[in-house]
Amino acid sequence: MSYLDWIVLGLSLSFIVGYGIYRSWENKNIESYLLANQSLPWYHVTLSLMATQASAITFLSAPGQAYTDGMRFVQFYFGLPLAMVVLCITFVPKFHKLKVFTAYEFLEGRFDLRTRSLTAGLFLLQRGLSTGLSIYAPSIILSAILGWDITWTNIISGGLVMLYTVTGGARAVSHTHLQQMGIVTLGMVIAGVTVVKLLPDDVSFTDAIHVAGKMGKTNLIDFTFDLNNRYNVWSGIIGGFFLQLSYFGTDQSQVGRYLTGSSIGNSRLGLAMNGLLKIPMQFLILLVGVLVFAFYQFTTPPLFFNQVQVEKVMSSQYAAEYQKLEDKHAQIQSQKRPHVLALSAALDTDDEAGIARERDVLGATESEVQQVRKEAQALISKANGQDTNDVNYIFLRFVIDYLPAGLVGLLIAVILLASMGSVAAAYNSLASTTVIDVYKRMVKTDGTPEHYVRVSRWTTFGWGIFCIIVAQYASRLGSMIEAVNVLGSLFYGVILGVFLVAFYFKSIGSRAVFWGAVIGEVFVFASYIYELTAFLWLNLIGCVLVIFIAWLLEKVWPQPVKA
Amino acid sequence: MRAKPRSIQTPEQEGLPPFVKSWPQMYGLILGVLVAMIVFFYAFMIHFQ
Repeated sequence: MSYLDWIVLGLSLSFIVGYGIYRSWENKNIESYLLANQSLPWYHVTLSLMATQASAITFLSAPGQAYTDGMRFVQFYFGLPLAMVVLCITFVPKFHKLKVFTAYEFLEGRFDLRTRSLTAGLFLLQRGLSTGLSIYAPSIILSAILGWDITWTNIISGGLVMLYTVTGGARAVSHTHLQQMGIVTLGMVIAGVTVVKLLPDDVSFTDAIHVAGKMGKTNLIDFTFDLNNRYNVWSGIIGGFFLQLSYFGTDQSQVGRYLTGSSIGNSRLGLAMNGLLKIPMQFLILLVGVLVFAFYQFTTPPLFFNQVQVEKVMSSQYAAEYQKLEDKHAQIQSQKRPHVLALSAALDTDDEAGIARERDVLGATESEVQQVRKEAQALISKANGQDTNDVNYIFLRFVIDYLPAGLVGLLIAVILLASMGSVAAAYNSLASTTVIDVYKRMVKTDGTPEHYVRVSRWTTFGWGIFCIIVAQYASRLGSMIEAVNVLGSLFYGVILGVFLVAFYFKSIGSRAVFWGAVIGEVFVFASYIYELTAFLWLNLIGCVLVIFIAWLLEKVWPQPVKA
Repeated sequence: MRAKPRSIQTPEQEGLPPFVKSWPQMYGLILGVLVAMIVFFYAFMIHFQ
């Protein structure tokens, strides 16, 4: 990176951390520290929800996903607007009217203390571990780019967030989310515009999308109902709905965001706007990936995008073999280029026959490219024994190789800020749940406001340290995205089941739902350990099991009515 | 500076959404936009494929 890049990166990070610390002076009591006094307008809520959900991987992985697999990933979010509507109607009014700090607090009123403690405990376990992974994911990539030891990038990623979440609480989290989303959006827009500028002079924006589209990258919609197809309209609407409902409805890192709204209306509007904006945002991020794909049709792309792995294989006994693949790849790319230009010209003149001819040729050439890439990945796996998936590195490699000085620093800042946004919300939610559901409820019930703020700060600090330690061990867990999803799937379904019973099954009592949740969680863990099903189905299984077992227990073992 | 007390709201004070007259209309708008986006994405795909 150039000096200018370092300056841009340093200024972006200092601004966010400094601003977060500046906002911390307003915290005088626990309501201010954990809920920002429920004083924030809807746009704060919306941007905070979006910043919490969008991690570094969102901005690194999604463009790479579009490059390799097309834009069909957007369908994954089709259930989100539906989930937002259900949350606005059911969850938000209940949480606001009962004036809860955490989602789990509501469960004590509806059921009992042990159900509240069980769900809070499951959340703390899941969120504490997955936040460690959220810190580790950008750390490993930054470590590869900057050449720093992973320990230091972990400490920087997790530690910078601690600086302002410990002092500033929810208010600092929400205000920094606003600035972070501003910088992240600016960075992605500039990246998109720069890709278009880098295209050959006679290739326009629409030409580029046409070229990518003819090569199957604009595959946005698939109406086929196929359980084995991960991304189609139906899996997005049905599966996505359950996933987003459990994430936004029962995960305190999100519930804590919309509880900061100054009224039920502001919390609802924040969620509603998230429902309106999330899909277009994801579409635009994927479009950047498609443009990068189009750019690399006119310029030879790297055979493998993770440079660290390439360097390792080139210093191994497989170097000559890899070099041969590099040469073959370059040769196919140079043969492909005249056809890409011919396709672009045919598109300009609406020459249908020419378009069809060049599309067929390019389809065959692309298959050859994919074959060479597979061979290269197999070789890397043989030489290095790890990490043959370079999807997360595609966009980053493009940024480093082609973006001008200053913009590289900005895009690295985007990655770090995106990570900081989700990690900040996680620290805050972990502290809220620990203090409200454990400490204030069971340890010290009569503390002063200042005492609880002090305890909340120390708790945030403690969770920060814990998450950084988890990040240090995260490399042993394999694929990051899969590890995060597995962790979520092990707990989300059961917690959602408890909340759905609370809202929609008034006749079911606390004893039935508690044992329903315990049995459901044991079954979910057993299903995962014995590999009874793919882990994504655990969300649905956990949820349905809790509802069914609780209903059954209430029938056969009804709870005695208190006198 | 004293912290503002947390508000207790009646349904009348919950506020109405902008652009529309009621929350059910807002939910209808969200679902309508979802359908419109799916139609747009389909047209986009057909046009560029």
